[in-house]
Amino acid sequence: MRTLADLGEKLIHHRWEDDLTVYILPRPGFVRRYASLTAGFGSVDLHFVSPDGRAHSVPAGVAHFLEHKMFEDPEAPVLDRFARLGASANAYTSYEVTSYLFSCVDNFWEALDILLGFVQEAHFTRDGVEKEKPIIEQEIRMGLDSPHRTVVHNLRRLLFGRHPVREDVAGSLESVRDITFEHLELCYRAFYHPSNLVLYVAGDVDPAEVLEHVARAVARRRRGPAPGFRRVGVPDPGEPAERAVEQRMSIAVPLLALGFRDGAYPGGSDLERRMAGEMALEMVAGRGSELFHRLYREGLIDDSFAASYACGRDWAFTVFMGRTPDPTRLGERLREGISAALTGWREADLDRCRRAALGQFISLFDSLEAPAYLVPELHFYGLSLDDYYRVLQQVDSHAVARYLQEALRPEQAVTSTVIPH
Amino acid sequence: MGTDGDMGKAAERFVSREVGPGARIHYFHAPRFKDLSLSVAWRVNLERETVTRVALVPSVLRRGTRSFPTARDLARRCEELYGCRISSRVYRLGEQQVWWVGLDFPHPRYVEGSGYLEGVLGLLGELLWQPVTEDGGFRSDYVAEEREVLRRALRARFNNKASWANLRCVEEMCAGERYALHPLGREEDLADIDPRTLYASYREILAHGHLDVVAVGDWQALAAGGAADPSGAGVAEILRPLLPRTAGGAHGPGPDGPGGQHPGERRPGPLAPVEVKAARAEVREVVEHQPVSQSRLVVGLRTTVTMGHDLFPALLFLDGLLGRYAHSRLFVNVREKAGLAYYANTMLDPVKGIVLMVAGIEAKAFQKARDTSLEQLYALGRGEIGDGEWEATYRSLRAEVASWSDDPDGLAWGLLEGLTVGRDFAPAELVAAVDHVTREQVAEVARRLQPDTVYFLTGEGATAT
Repeated sequence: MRTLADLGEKLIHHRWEDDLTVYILPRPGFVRRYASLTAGFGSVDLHFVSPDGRAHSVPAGVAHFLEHKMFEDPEAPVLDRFARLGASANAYTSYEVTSYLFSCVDNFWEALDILLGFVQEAHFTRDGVEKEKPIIEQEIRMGLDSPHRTVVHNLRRLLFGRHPVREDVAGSLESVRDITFEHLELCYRAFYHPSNLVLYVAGDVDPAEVLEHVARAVARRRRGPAPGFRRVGVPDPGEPAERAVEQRMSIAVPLLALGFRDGAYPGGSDLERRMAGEMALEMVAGRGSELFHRLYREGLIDDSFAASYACGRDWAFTVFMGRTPDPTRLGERLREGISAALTGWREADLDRCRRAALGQFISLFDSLEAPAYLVPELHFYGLSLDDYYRVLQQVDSHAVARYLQEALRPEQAVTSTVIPH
Repeated sequence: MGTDGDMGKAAERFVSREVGPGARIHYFHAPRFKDLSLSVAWRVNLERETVTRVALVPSVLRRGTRSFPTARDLARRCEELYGCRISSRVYRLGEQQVWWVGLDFPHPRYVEGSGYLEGVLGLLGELLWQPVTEDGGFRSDYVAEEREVLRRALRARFNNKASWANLRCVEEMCAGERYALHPLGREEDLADIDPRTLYASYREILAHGHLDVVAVGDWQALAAGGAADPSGAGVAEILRPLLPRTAGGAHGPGPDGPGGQHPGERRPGPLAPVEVKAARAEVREVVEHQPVSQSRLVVGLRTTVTMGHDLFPALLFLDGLLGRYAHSRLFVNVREKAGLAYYANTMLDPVKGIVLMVAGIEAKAFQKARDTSLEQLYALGRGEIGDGEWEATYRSLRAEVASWSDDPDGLAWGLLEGLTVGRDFAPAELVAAVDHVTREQVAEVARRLQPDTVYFLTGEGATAT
């Protein structure tokens, strides 16, 4: 079993009681330095209970809206403050996290202070919330014109009847109109406590210096114990109510997405499931698979075709997706092919795909950004990059067989297509 | 401030060597990377008669080599080699078309097993030089299949509205120039392509294309001289087997295969210089309708200041003030102040001297967004540049240029851009050049950047003006 140390890497980690967690990945020789501050709060967190026992439900898109509004500051807009240092700042919201980040060459410590400051001190206003709505509306409209986003969005709505993962991260035109200042304030209070924030730093930095710097920032800003909000899960009916959805759009080439909900998903902290899923899909539908080869030669798919396993705390699904001249035929051929592939694979296929995954893991370290997505996400499941590397090497044929049998059940299959007008 | 102030890696730059007619090897030594990266770029002129065939060649080559005769065999071989990634695509660079083969793989020191490096380089060599052939041409089934895949890719450009709007604006603005040709070619040419003519095109590229092999990473550790040799000679020796015989390599000069040519025949022809034109006297507006939810505005501008020009650093500066960053004028004025857009930014082609100002807006905001965008440019031309935006752009630009050293693909592409215009900018030199840009120069470059074509893609029935 190889470790990060065998790759010449070490991820430094420290947690302050009732406060921030920090991870540092030194990248000696890199010019850029990078930091992100990630809140364990994403688009699926729509239902929760406050410590007094009250239940709260907020409109879809609230985490993403809050992300936009954290950049508001009446004194000096946050982006301007980063820009003055030559730091490039951004943010993104996913199903389960909201992440604020910057990269820079000079002025790293000043930029780090801005990052730690603005995420922990909200300044949004009622007026600002209303002014943001047309901007978010344009962002959503941009997505409405994307066939790729549409085909996956429609698929998720078939796969999940009630679970909030069925909604787009940005919400809908309607749900965004319903978002209020109070919603944002409530969510900020519930989920932006420093104990629910994780700082990630990468670049040519001295870890001891980073720890010292962050320790001082933590000492200045102690907020006391976590407020104790609790997420409420949304039970979802096991069977999809409908099997297929089709939408017409202004496009030239149709798109197909074939999806399977993983009804036996053990939960986000089970890394083995995730990796078994990824490797199994590479084996069954990757460039080196019989299925890919056959469908390509039949003219049903091209290089846009890909299979992926998306999973989170209490939800998981598999998608096979690509452009195709004939979505109906591709849907049929895919189902046949997947059924046949469930058992028709060999240990040697898995070895090959594992080797490729190990190579990709090594390449991860050449990017400041790629581990920055992974590390905070793992953190919120109580896992680290070391766990990730260990499990990657351990995934065996049993785990892969289990994934294939449980997560790709033919009776769970649903299809979403987008076709030209 | 500890380690702050380490601006760029001053000592780092490409070491280039001519290795034969129209063939060069470039090496950028960067031991911080865990991957080794290699790009093999063949440049030919963009021509209406050949553009589609040149676009199709890389697709057919990806289908198989002599030892790995199917795409599935190739993919499996890559997986065995720790998932080494080989890509093969075409791009546009000024008036030239580039066939770009990229290879990234973990450094041998991080993986187990012998023969790994030889395996990876051998695979790349086969992909370039030893395609599967039959009857004096490519395999006919592969050609037929890839023709359809390319047809679909050409049509699918319409699926992405933002890039479609950009493409249409450039087509309108540069009509009649080579640059207006899309690097993927034209659908109407596909029917006439057969396995023999396509194979002839492939050999034509190998015989007359300009070849640049670009290596980034810690290749030196693998060279015979090891770390002691800073000249890159040892690295060139590792890569030489990939080259044509005329450059001391093992292949060609035409490809191995039917009707192989004799050594010494490789003669790269002259490459078309970049055609730099002034904007048309009267701005043209083109409005097109599709049932879209968001309208797309593209303002196409031209300048005669390109990468080869002394004022180029000032053009970068101007682009930064105008629309490159989140503090830039387009984002601030079109999105944040006027709330007209979700995105509003510029896209600069430094080789051609074209800037696109792009925004995703509501249909009714067309005039306001267009006028607001142009007004930002004109204000900069009048020298109305605030201290805050100047400082932010200066720092952001320096950081961005210095950061290129962290991105192997970006480094290789930047090198190729420089070769196209005949001017080599090391990141560190460009950082230094940015230091000397003055407000007067930026204002002058702003005045020399002029609107040519306004393109607007909007919903059915919506009126634009």
